[in-house]
Amino acid sequence: MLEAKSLWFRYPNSSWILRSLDLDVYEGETILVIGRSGCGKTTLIRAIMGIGTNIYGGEIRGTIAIDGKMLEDYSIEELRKVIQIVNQDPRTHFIYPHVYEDLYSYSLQIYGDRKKAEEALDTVSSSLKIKHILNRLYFELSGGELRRVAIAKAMLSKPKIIIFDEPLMWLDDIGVKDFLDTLARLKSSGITIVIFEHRFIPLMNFVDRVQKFSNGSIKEVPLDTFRKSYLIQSENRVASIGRSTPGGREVAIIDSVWFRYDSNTVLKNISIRINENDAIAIYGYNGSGKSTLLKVIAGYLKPQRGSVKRFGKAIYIPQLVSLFFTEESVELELKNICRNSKDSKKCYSNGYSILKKYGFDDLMQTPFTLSWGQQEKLAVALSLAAGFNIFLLDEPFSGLTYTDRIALIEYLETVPGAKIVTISSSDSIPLLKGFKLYKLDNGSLIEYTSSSKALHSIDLDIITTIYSD
Amino acid sequence: MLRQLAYLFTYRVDTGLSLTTKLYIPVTIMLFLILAINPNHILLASIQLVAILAIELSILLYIGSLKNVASAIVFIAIFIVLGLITRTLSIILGYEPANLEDMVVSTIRVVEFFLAITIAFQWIKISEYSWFLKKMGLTNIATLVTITLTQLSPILVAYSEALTTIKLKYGGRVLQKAVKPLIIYSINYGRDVAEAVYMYGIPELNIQFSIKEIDVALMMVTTTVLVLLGIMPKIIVGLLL
Repeated sequence: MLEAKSLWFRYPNSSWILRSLDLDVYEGETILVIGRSGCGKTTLIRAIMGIGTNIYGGEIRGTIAIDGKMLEDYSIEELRKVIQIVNQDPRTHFIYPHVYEDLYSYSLQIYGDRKKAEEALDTVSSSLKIKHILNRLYFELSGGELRRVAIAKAMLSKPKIIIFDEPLMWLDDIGVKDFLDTLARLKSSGITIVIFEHRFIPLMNFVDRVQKFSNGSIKEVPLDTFRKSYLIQSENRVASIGRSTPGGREVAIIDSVWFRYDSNTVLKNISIRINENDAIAIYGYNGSGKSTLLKVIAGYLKPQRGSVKRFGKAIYIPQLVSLFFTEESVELELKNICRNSKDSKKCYSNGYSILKKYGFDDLMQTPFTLSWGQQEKLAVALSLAAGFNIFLLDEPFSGLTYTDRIALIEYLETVPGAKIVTISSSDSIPLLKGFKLYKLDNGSLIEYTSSSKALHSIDLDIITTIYSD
Repeated sequence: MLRQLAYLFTYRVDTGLSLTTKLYIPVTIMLFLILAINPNHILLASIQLVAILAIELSILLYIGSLKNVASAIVFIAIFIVLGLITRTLSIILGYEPANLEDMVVSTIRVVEFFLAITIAFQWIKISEYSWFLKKMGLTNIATLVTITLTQLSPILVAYSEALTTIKLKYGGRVLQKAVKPLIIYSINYGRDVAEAVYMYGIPELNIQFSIKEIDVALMMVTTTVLVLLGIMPKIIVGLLL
């Protein structure tokens, strides 16, 4: 169904990213392509869809055949009817804000007839169970709903192949389940599916084959290897998550805090004491108020009731970590963040040592081109240099592979100060060694022991082996 | 608050009315506010402004929600409070303050003008703006406007997040620092949107420009009400005096 032979691709003025890559996807199968961040997964998608050459002006060598026809023989209109892609960020798929209007206009473009367009939309929206959200604005939808609508849009042209680029990105456990249900329906309808995703654990039981992307090419990895890495554990072994043993002085006391946006109460009577070296993870679904809680702790948002006392400096590192950086080099970042210090010279010289200690030797490099994990680490190191000692990291693991998540957790262990991270998916929980786990649910914060739930456990050795070249 | 801006360009209820009607009503209200209000006659102007406000709030309620109406009222209140502060400052600083009645009437007039613009934004769909621009021969601008308005919400959310981060990082004094990360974010996001546009194209909708009976009725009612509002208060005031 999809065949790439000796595929080479590079962007203008860059080195080859795809290097003699071979890929075969057979009709009706679901394959998973994994790989480290920045390894070229998205580039491969761009090459397959012709986006790499037509939008980015890249150079391509080798052949791509889709449904028995060479890529260059397709017009874009023909290609849309054979293969579709659902982007990492499904919000980008919308041309019109109203869901029905967007889907209907696209359907009309494909079929050119009102009745046929309505019928196609009706069929797809019934099959993907999105009828109840058709009359809403896309930016009001949850992550899972948004993903389903994007899939519905892709399905309107009845393609034979659908490619998903990191479909689990930003999804909480509900969104993941939602996606997996949709995936099962697509599979049963015989569509060929290619999923590019580094967060592979939830997908293990849905894929037929796994390919690993590394050094510009792809090779098959036995599915059993992946399944072995992931075990469902009974409640008795949940304690392996680990609990931090707080010590030292308190750096923040959050006492009976209530917070609401308009009439929507997000935080209800939240109390938590944070010690200077605590490592705390707050687990909650999307929209449960995790970011709000971090901003309240940081002092950016003022609670309507209750009190927040800080005995330290708090820094907030956003979900989109690149928004943290404002300068074109690490050195300028350090200089600027030190400007607010009482002794900026001392801050700079200490900061220089801190950055060196944490592996940021090249101060002239730009923070914007670092990998997601490196950006998280740099943001923490810079904050540490500037004297912050309460680090609030909003969903730092979203864009990271499992091994990168472990690396970040190990890095945070070495950083002095209180660390609070939020997570929205339970597949990160087994990695949070040494963290005290809370759950934010319906506005309330409770210690999360998961005593009544089975949790996932990951064999880190196998995962490391999978990613090693 | 930034996120709320995204709602300015979106509609919730498809009224099925012609684009002609949706343009005609807010534009005639705006023209009325410019041409028919006599600020020198406070009582007359007050009657007219109260009636216009009632019409505007009714339309907002119809095409949006109670929240829209509440926001509109807050909007008016903010303008009036600003006017009062300015007036108080004028008195404190020894300047000749504006007449209080004049100030309230002028403020409400300006606010009603903005509400009419809001109605146009909320009533007219992005696809209709796009169609309109294309008819004027501005195809590329139509595409840009359509995508920009549609993608406003995610961009504004990122802007809000960047401002929060920079404020905490630098202590709130250098918010202009947020510009660089936002430009980079916008470029990356725009690139993703361009890829999606490549895959899905820019579909056009059939725009309802021809007028139906309901459109004729609504335009006639609006015109009649506005004409009466222009004449009747003068008659009433004339009778009272």
